[in-house]
Formats: sequence, C-alpha cells, structure tokens
Amino acid sequence: MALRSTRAEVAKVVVLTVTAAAVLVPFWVMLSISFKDQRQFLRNIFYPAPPFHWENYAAGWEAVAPYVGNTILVAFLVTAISLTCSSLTAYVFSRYDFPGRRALFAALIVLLMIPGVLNLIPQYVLALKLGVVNTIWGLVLFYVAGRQVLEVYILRSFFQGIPRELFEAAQMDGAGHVRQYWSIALPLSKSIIGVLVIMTVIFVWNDFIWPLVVADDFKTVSYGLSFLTKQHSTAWGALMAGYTLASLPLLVLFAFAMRYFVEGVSSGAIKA
Amino acid sequence: MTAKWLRTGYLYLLILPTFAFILLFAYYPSASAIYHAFFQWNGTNIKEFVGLDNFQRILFDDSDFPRAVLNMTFFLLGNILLQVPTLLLALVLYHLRRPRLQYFYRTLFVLPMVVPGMVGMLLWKFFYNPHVGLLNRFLARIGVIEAPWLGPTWLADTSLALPSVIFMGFPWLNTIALLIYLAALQRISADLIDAAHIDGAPTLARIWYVELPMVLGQIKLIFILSVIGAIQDYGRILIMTDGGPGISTLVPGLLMYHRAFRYSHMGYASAIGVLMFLVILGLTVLNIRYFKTHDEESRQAA
Repeated sequence: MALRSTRAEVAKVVVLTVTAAAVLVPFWVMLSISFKDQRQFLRNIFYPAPPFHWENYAAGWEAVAPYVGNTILVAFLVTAISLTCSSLTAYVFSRYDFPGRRALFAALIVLLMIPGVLNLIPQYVLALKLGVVNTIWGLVLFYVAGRQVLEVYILRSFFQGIPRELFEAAQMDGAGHVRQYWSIALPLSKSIIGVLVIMTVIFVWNDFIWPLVVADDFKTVSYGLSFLTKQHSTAWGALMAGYTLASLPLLVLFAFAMRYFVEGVSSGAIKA
Repeated sequence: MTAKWLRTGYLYLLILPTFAFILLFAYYPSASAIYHAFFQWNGTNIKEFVGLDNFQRILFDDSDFPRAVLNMTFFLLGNILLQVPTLLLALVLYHLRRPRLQYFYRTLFVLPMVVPGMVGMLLWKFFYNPHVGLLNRFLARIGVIEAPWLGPTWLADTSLALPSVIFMGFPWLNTIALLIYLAALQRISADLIDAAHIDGAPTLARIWYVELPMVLGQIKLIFILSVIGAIQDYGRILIMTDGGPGISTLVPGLLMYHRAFRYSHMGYASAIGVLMFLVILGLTVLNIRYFKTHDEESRQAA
C-alpha cells in the first residue's frame, strides 16, 4: 500500500514537472535566442551558447523603452483615477441608503454584460470628436471608465463585509462620510485594492486592439511589440531581448504582489 | 431637513465621477452603436438611414460572413476542449500529498502570467515560422522532415492556418482557471474526504463522485467564459494571421474590425457588433438563469 501510494506520488510529480517544462519552453527559447547573433540564431536556438551577445539587450532596450514608459504612465494614471472614483462609489453604495440607489447600482452592473466589440467603433468616433486620438488621454479616459465597473462591483461586496460597528463607532466620534471612508474602509481593504491594482496593470500591459485603434503615436507595450516585430522581422536576437525586457516590469510587480493576487483569486473575491 | 438633504446631496456628489465616466465612455457608445447599426455611416460626414439593410446584407449577402461564423465555431469548440488540460492539472496538483510541493508547482504555473500575453503570442508566431521557427527546426532535428524550409508553412497554409491558431499555446494552461479550480477543491470539507476514504472508494471514484461535483460550478463558469471569449476575442487572430491566408481564419469580430478601420464602413461594422452583442447577451442571460436555479436547488437541499 505504502509502496503503491509512493509510486502514485512520483507519477504525479512527473506529470507536473513535464507540464511545467512545456509551459516554460517558449520563455526558455526566448532567453536563449536573446543572446545570439544572426549566425548563432540560424545554427541553433534550443540553448544559449557562447559568445553571448549582450548588445542585443542594448538594442532591445532602445526599442522597447518608450513603450514601457508609456505603459507605466498609462497604468499609473488609470489605476489612480479609476480606484479613487470606484472606491468612493463602492463605499457609498455599501454604506448608505438613498433614493435611486438600487437603480443606479443596476445601471452600473449591467455594463458588465456589454462586450467590448459593441463599443469599439463608437468609442473610436467619440475619441475622434474629443480630439484625444493619438494622445495618452485616448487610452486613459476610456480605460478609467471600463475598469471602474468591475472595481465598484468587487469593492462594494468587500466593503459590505466590514463590520458595521466599526463605522458606527467612528460616526459617534464625529467622523463624517469621507473620514470614515478614508480611515476605516480604505485601510481595511489594502489587500483587495492591491489585487485590483495588479489586474488593471496587467490589463493595460496586455490590451492590444484599443491602442492599435487609438494610440498610434502613444504605443503601449503590446501594440509596440507587435509593431516592432513587423518592422524588424529578422533581428531575432534583439527582438527576443526586447520581449524579455518588456516582461520585466510585470515580473517585478508580481514579485511583490503575487501572494496577494493568488490569495485574492483563491478566496473567491474575484470570480472572473 | 436641510441637513438631511445636504447629506444625501453629498452622497450623489461622491458617486458623480464614476457615473460621469460611464455615461460618456460606456453608455453613450453602446447607444451610438445600436443607433448607427441602422445607418450607412463612415464615422464622420456620410450618414444615411438604411433601416435593416445592414443586417440583411451581413446575414444573406456577405460572402465572408458564413465562413467567419464557421471559423468561430471551430475556435469555440477548440476553446472548450482546451480547458480540459487545466482541470486535469488542477486535480493532479490537488492530489499531491506534500503541501510544500503543491505550493512550489502552483507558483511555477502562475509564473507565465507575468509574461505579457503579446509576448506569448509573438513567440508562437515565431515557432510557426516555416524557415527559422522552432516547430520546423524541431521536426527537422528529429528527422520527420529533411530541412526546416521543406516543412509545412503553418500560418501561411490555407488548411493548416486555422488549426495552428486554435492549438497554439501548448499545453494550454489557463492560470486563472487553475487557481479557481484549486481553491474550490481545497474548500471540500475534510469530513467528506474522510467518508470517501472510509468507504474505501478508489481514487478515480473519489474524483468522479466527490471532487468533480464540488467544482461543477467553477467548471460551468470557466466554460461560459471560454465560450464568450471565443465569440468576441479576435486579437489573437489579428496578430497571428489577420484572418488569412484569404479568409481561412476570419471570424466575425475581425470582419467587423476590417470593415470599420480598413473600409470605414462604420454602420455596417456596428451592425456586426450588434449581432455579436445579441448572441453574447443571450448566452449571459442563459448563464445567469442556469446558475440561479442551481443555487436555489442547493439551497433547498441544504
């Protein structure tokens, strides 16, 4: 019995290891190529071999740095603006009753069911009318609107879980709405806000179609990388170095916040 | 009285920014899309009411549309099928006996999320490159083909392009789904597991009768998400083949994109968007109903 279960355990570890290896192969090949010049690239891509061409990374950085900079700026603005608005709204919805509360909340949540394909064209025309095409605001304004819906939804249910007595005690001490929001609701929801920040950053980092449509002069990482790949389709070493460098900021973010994220998803706070 | 009014007014003021944003950037565009689906419209100066003409042309006269729907169906089936490996992996991971090992592999599987999705796609595009790509080099190395450039042309091949895009991303791990499954499995009460053990249920029976039913809700959620995803996501196809060669990988979303931004047929494209919206809405409503009855049943049972 013991022997059989040990054997089963080994089999599981083998399955997991093989799968993990398969998942990681693309990134291994990416790293391997990023150190090669064209001749080495043509000879072998499966593993890195000396001499290592670090200059690929200089070329790659020069190419992707503007995109990374743009994306960090957009992600920062979108996160700051959308979370400020959505946390206030979520707080009001979770704490107070006022005329029209249910209808307003329903009007917000129904947007979760509207797919992006419906809005793409009129949003582009709207961006044209507002004169924000090819500027940072063409990205930021629309992203802020889009992210808020999910954020309000998640934050409201989180705020509702905070014991009422905490707020009531603060109210007795003379704290107003904003004070209660600022010194009770927000500090108690650091972890969920952390999860939302990560989700928004990943979203901005990965979104491709909207920047393609509206931000030709303000390319974010995803659009920038696909653009570069088309322009320099033979400089594989530098290209792969660029891919690697464009991934690093997310790696840093995750190194700090991975635990929150995994816990957030695992606890069921985020369903989709 | 005034004080109360002031307080309520203040609350509206606090939620005003959110609603100003969604009114202008979400509600207005949605209304505009539906409105303009009935117009011949180039987005700026030409705008003429044509009634249901756009819809009629899409459904009956556009020779690209049936092929796009067919391709989308293949993507949809592929998407559903490729959710299975993640579920199996979650089960294997859950059955690992040592928690530290479990944590280690979970971290390993979450790692790819750190890499931008675009990098993953571009790497696969490179893998499919017939001259220098990984796939043909590998086939040449193991002797299946004589030289990389003599192998299949994958994305440039009319009959191979569709399956190539559907099956890219081996081993098709869906990180978020994995975490959701794993969390659901770990919530199964120890009593239930013990009872199955005492009954002497073999592992496969335990999986089938205890564990899978407990994650059924999560399986449904991932299922519906992958169906909706397959209907509306065309970014991957835009990157890999742009619908080609010919229209062999075209899907309705991409057709909409092409009509809108290459031909400025904004009204026609809006009508395609409205059709896709209706399909997705129908699925969402079905899904909500389905989940609701399921919840009520379990509540009644409890």
